[in-house]
Amino acid sequence: MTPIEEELRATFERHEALTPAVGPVRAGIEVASVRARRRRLIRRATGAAVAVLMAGSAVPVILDRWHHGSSPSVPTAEFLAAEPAPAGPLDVLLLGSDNRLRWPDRNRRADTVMIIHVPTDRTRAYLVSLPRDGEVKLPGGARSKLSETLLSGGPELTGKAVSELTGVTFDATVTVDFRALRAVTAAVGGVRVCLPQAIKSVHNDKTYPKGCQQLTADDVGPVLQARYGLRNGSYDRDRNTQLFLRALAGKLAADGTVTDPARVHALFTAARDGLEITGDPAALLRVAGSLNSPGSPIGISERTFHGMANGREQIYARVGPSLYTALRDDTLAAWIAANPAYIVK
Amino acid sequence: MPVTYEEFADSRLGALLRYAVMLTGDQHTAQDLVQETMVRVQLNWRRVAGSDSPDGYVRKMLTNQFIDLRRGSWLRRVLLRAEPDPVRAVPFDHADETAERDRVWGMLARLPRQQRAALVLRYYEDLPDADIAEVLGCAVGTVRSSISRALATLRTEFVEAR
Repeated sequence: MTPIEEELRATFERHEALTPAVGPVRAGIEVASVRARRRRLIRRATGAAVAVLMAGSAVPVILDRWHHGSSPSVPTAEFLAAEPAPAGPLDVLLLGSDNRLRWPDRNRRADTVMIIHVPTDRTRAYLVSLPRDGEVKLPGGARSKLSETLLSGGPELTGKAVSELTGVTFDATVTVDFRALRAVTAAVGGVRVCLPQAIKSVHNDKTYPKGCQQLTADDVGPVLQARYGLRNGSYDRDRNTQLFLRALAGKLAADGTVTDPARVHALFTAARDGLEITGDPAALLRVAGSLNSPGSPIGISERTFHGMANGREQIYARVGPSLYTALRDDTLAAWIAANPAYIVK
Repeated sequence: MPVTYEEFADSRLGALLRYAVMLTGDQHTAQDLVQETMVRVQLNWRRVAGSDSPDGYVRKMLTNQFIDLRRGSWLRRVLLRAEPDPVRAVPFDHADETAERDRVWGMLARLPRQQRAALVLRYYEDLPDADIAEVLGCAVGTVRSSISRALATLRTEFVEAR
């Protein structure tokens, strides 16, 4: 041991006396944790970042470019270093709220309920849509339509109901409304979507033909809300939503401008009014940063209506148990191979 | 092995505070650093408890947080484009007897944070280099070179100051 090393050890030991008392720190942590829990429902600015992850995990591209980019002015390793990237599978519940501005904020139903699953191997994200009119059990045993849980108990109740149904525990719940989707679409200059069938919107009287077309911010609401006149009603709407998210992801992944931090910042800021989140957005971003194929999530959707004895809809009547097991056991790739008919094309 | 957050906090908080003091050199910054880290630990307890070593996981969180400290949180930095906080000036006065006695302590504050963390992990926490590399998320070779660079800096200044 050299003199300087000895001096170092002695210095550290001498300064142990500076250590603050444990008690007050412990109390401070409790107070701050309670505050953080309350706050996380309205962490909009950071939640906006997650919306971009939700939109098919384009963020990894951004992170990746920043990480390896030549520009010295953008954050590098420290960007991801705040915590180790969580390992293991990640499940996020994405709720598309039909909240419209003219209605009181609480008066909203879930148009879209989707589980985003990121497997341990981080190959790609999976989007599993749940039919919004399906029946779910609430804590305490009552039954309800899935879409109405958002109205009666907010995102937390919807999350509990989906956990009860599937056995999946969610790392985060993200609620997006059309303000966020509009804003993101406008910020990226429109999204090109290939519609599998024509849509005659009752919202703006426009007809969107079958096939590929550029959707502007004004088109997002009408196209994603359209349900009447589609062959399979809200199942087709779920598929359209997945197609839109995938197209948006592809655009963000391919569009060189997302490497511009100022542009990304503008995107996040634009979306923040239409977003709510529970969970840790930073952890989600770090997981997104580890995806291999950010631009091509795989979509899974129920195909048609299955009634129950009481007339309500049964969610994934044919394949529910095996699908939920695959989600919990992180074996979705094998499940998809066995059930290709449920893949959104 | 602790299973609940409460048990973890009861058994580890003291050691984390001592570690944070060695990293930051300052009682109040150490307290803030530990508090900020532990709030995140509590909110993400399932993940922390599920890791191979909750202890090591939290030490890693705290260390990364420390290395990142000057810039503020990365979210704030990236999303809100906050100006970085000014670097804290190091009080160092040759005439002052306390400063004289704690010359090494004062020099530590002027090292790059990653180097300081490496020194604390080796000479205070007594971790082997492989574990230090794990905490800092770098190669063992990088750990050794930052420690030897840090020691060289301290040695030069130590000699000059005499």
